[in-house]
Amino acid sequence: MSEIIKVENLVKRYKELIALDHLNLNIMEGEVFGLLGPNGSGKSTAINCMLSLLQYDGGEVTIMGKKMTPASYDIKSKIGVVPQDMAVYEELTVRENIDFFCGLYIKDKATRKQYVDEAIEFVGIKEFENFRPKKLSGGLKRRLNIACGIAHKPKIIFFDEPTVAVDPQSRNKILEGILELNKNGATIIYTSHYMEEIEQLCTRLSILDKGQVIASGTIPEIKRMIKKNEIVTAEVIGLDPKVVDTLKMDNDVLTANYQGKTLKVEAAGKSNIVKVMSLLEKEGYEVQQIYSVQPSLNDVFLELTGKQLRDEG
Amino acid sequence: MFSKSLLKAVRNKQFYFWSFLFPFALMCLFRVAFAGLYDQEICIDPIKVAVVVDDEGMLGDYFIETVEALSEGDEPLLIYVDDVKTIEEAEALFADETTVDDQVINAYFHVTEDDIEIVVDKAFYAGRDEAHIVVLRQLTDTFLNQYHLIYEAAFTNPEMIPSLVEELSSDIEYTAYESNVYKNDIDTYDWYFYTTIVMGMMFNFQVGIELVTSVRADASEVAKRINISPKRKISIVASEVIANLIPCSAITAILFLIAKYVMGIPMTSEVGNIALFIVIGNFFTIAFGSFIAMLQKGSTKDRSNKSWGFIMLLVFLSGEMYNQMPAILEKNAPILNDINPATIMNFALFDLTYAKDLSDFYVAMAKILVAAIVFMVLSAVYMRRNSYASL
Ligand SMILES: Nc1ncnc2c1ncn2[C@@H]1O[C@H](COP(=O)(O)OP(=O)(O)OP(=O)(O)O)[C@@H](O)[C@H]1O
Ligand SMILES: [Mg+2]
Repeated sequence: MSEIIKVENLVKRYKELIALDHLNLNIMEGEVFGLLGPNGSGKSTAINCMLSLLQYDGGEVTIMGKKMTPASYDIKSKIGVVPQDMAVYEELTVRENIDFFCGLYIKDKATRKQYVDEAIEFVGIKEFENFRPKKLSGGLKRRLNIACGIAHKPKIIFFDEPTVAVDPQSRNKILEGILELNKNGATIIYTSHYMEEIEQLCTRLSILDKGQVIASGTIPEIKRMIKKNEIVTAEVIGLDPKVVDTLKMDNDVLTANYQGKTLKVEAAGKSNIVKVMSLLEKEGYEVQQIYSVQPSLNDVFLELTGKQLRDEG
Repeated sequence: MFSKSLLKAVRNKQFYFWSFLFPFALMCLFRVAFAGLYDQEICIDPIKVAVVVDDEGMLGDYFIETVEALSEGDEPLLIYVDDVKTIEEAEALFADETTVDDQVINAYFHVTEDDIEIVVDKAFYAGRDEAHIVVLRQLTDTFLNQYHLIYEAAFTNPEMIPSLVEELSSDIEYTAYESNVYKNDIDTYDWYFYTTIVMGMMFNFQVGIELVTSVRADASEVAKRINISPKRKISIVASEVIANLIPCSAITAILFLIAKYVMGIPMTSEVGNIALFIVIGNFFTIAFGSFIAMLQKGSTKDRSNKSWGFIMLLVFLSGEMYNQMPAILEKNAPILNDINPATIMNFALFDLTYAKDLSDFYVAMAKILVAAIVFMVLSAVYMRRNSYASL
């Protein structure tokens, strides 16, 4: 995989506020790259700078080996963007909107018609194609917004929080669609403050906070960055404290305690559940239930910044 | 892309309200409120006149013919008393207690070798409004202005004369109103319609504002899509301007048709010049709107709200609602008339309808066009960039 987007030391200031603070990103061709960060961390700013829509105060953006500038029309023709906010004309219908924006890239009428049809099919709004945007529900609007950004079959697609305010069903459809676009060869840059989505979609990611990258890599790589460990919880009746002591002697195990009928083991590494399970079975206990919790990206964020990625709830 | 731009323009509801419904409603209002006044004035009592000719010749002959023509029909403007030959005879017929009523004349024309003098009975003058006097003034002025046509026709094309005389008399009917500072004699009633049409055109400034916000990424979301596309800005701006010019011009044309055929307002029948006026005028207001939008910040709404007041002021100063406005400005601050595009367009429209010589009209059109081009170029430069300090 070759590098398709390179962001070096990007700095963007809004007066005193530093929205991007020496941001570095490397995005590989063909991957789904995640940009995870809480509200106001600079995700949209980063995207808009990469697109040369925003002027920046320092650093450089290279796309497909060339420096990205406002006049890089050849690069622009290969990019698709799904902006965070709805960007469609109220006067035009669903189909006309998609056609208009596709027309900014595709001149040939027949090709364009085919692309528009495919985009409508792809986001599943065929039956609403003659509606004006105002008449669409929130989720359908989002899908229209997506269709307008991808109809011209771009090589690189930026998604800026495309699932905000969308019900779980629509959200899943959107996520599936994004994976399909990726399978068809598009490189995806996906921003979100939902770690679940990022975990579900992305091959690699960067975590952003206050305009700085605080962690980068594949999901396991990032999780390995923190000290937080796997927690194995098992339910057993009448466990001998000696077994707990045996567990504690294991190199990977950090803590182990037994209360009521619940055994909690915190351990480094990944497959501790097997270790715990086999020990309990060897000692002749009947395990009623056993599960393990991997550290989440939220834990990573919590540990790196001392705050929650987003308010739970 | 152009077809979608056109669709967008045609479906813009706000535009119909301000550029069509609002002026149309005003026209209806004027019609209801002032039409009575208008009817009254057109039905002035016929003026009894005599003609005294010093010099036997064509001037006298055709003038008498014109006066006779104006004395015919159901509602004649004049009643011609034809047996008066001298000034003494005429003045003897001026009203006093002793004269028999049907022999009275209100005024007589004294035709000399190359001029026509109007002598009005004092009693008549005192009892009437100025309109009656103006009619006589107009009659002679128009006649003398056009006499050379009749004179030439007499040698080259005598069968033309009746139609020339006819045309003369119909010209006179419309000018029987208040005369004032304006270059052409302006009919108050017609004035409201002309200025209202121009107002509708001025309101198309909002199209220019929308144009700016739809391509400036810091003003709207759709503009972001346009800015990140490989499409050149200038081609988008051009496409949008032309697409918007079409419905704007169509609406203005409809207002013209309504004024002319529904409200009966006199209009030139030179379609080419009207089209020129409509297209250049609307191109100007779109360019002007873009220019005003350029001086402001924010969304379409922000920019348009602030501009409305300014446009309304221009329209008011051009004499919409109060037709003496340009006269007042002419006295106190003539520069305001010279630079107010609404005023320039109002007068251009009047010239187009009334002036025999259209050179002032073409000068006004040239001014408007040059201003439009300047504003358009400035706005295009402002819209051209596709990288912003803040979104
Ligand atoms: N036009 C602007 N003027 C001043 N400050 C701005 C402007 N736009 C963004 N900011 C600030 O820059 C920072 C980054 O904003 P940005 O929109 O990139 O965040 P984000 O990560 O996309 O957040 P969200 O998840 O809410 O979309 C924020 O602190 C924001 O307040
Ligand atoms: Mg954002």
